[in-house]
Amino acid sequence: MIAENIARFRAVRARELGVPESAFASNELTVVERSADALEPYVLLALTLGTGTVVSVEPQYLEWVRDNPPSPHFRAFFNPFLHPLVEHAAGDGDSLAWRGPSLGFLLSSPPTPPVIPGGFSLAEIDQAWRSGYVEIGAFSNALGDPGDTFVDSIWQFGLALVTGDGTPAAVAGAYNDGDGVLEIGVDVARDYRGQGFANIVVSAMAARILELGTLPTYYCAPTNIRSQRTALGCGFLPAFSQGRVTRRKTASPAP
Amino acid sequence: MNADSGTMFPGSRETVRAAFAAGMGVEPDAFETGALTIVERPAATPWYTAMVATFGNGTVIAVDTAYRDAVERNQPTPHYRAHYPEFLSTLVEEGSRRGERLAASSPSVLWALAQLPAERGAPAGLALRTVDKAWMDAEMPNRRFENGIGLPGVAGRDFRNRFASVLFDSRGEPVAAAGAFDTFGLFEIGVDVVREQRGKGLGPLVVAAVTREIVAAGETSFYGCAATNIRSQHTALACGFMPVASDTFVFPSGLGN
Repeated sequence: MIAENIARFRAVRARELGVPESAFASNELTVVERSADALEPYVLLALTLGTGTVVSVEPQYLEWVRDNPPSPHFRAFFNPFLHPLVEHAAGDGDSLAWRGPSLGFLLSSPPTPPVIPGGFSLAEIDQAWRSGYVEIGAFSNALGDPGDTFVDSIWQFGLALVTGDGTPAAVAGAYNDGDGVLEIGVDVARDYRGQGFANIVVSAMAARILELGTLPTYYCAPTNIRSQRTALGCGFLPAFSQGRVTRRKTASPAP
Repeated sequence: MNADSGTMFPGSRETVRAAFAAGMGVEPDAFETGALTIVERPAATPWYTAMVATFGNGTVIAVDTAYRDAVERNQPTPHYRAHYPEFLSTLVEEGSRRGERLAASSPSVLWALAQLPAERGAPAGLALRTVDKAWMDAEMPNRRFENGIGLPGVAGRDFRNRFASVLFDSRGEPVAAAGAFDTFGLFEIGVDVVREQRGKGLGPLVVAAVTREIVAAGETSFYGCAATNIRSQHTALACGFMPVASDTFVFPSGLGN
């Protein structure tokens, strides 16, 4: 299953980024201009499946990246390449920020049907349910942050493990992650941690995404040990890594 | 492997955490606070300016005395943002103000042993041997195995190396090496496979072999790799390791990372 999912993911990303699929197996750096149709508002995106790196960058920085290519290719994710880009942008009055590479996971085996503990049930949740919790900043991985219009636009649906009175103990959200790809985000309410509830909602969500004929993806930071173990416990394997440079949000001027 | 299986993992995690705690000058519980703990870097590890480590439930920063004030002034919130460029760059900039060129790494993925890997036989035409530090010292100047054997003068591998599991071809040339070297009293594993022999499972073979040697010696194995090194992550999983921690460094930029 993992080989098929990697092939599918690679094909989707290659199309989105406008590169041949072989760019991900080249063991080299491929630099392309960010498409105007790109789903995400990044300044620079670096993506590797382990054997080559593709960097997609806004037109205004394309020349700088081509003039300052990271070598070897995987240094596209790291400080010596990204920090000078951010400094260069600052010189033009453009305030950018970058984050270290994330871990990207794909399913290697069908998700095991989760066992729902007594007193709990799985409930589908929609935008209306989501809105209430986003407003109070709860379950930000599964539902998004308040005021994040991009995330509002890509959030598709969710599953919640709820108690008998409807209190959510754990929530998984599905986000548009490309053509036929849905990303899983997960949170467990503090009072319910340490009981395997993340695995329950992630497994259930992975199964739901598969039922739709779509490909589930899972991301987390290298520092999020618990999340890595959730991914592995639900049948996901590390398959890719990506890093981003984004534009810092500036405060709106006072009226 | 199911993330909850592997009966060795709880013990491995505890040993790795205790080793990191001792190496960073804190009690192991400092990693379980859900908060940030800042301490001065122990005298035994002068090669970094700041080390940031997490086992998932809290973050510890061990920092050069000269930079402690900068860390305290720029304390990140929540604690895990200590691994982020926004915080690390404050130390790099502080270094710049002092005339020191510092660099920051990105968070690594660190692994502890959950399940003893099965013994794997060498493929036809190759022979598996355990080699000692003397062999590693002699091989190092050839610069063929940056992770498995190390490079001269880089990351102290000259004195940290202990032994290695190496695959040799029919000419007696090494083609894959998994070396065990000291990190905080743990036996950390680094691995390389020569380019022409990649994609044949030789990495997991030598890592499994050296892991078994480490366990047989009564020591604790430990594995680390970059988030972008997908192949290395697969090797770790194939050899019975599970994610246990992450670390990030600020260091003088003239040093190898």
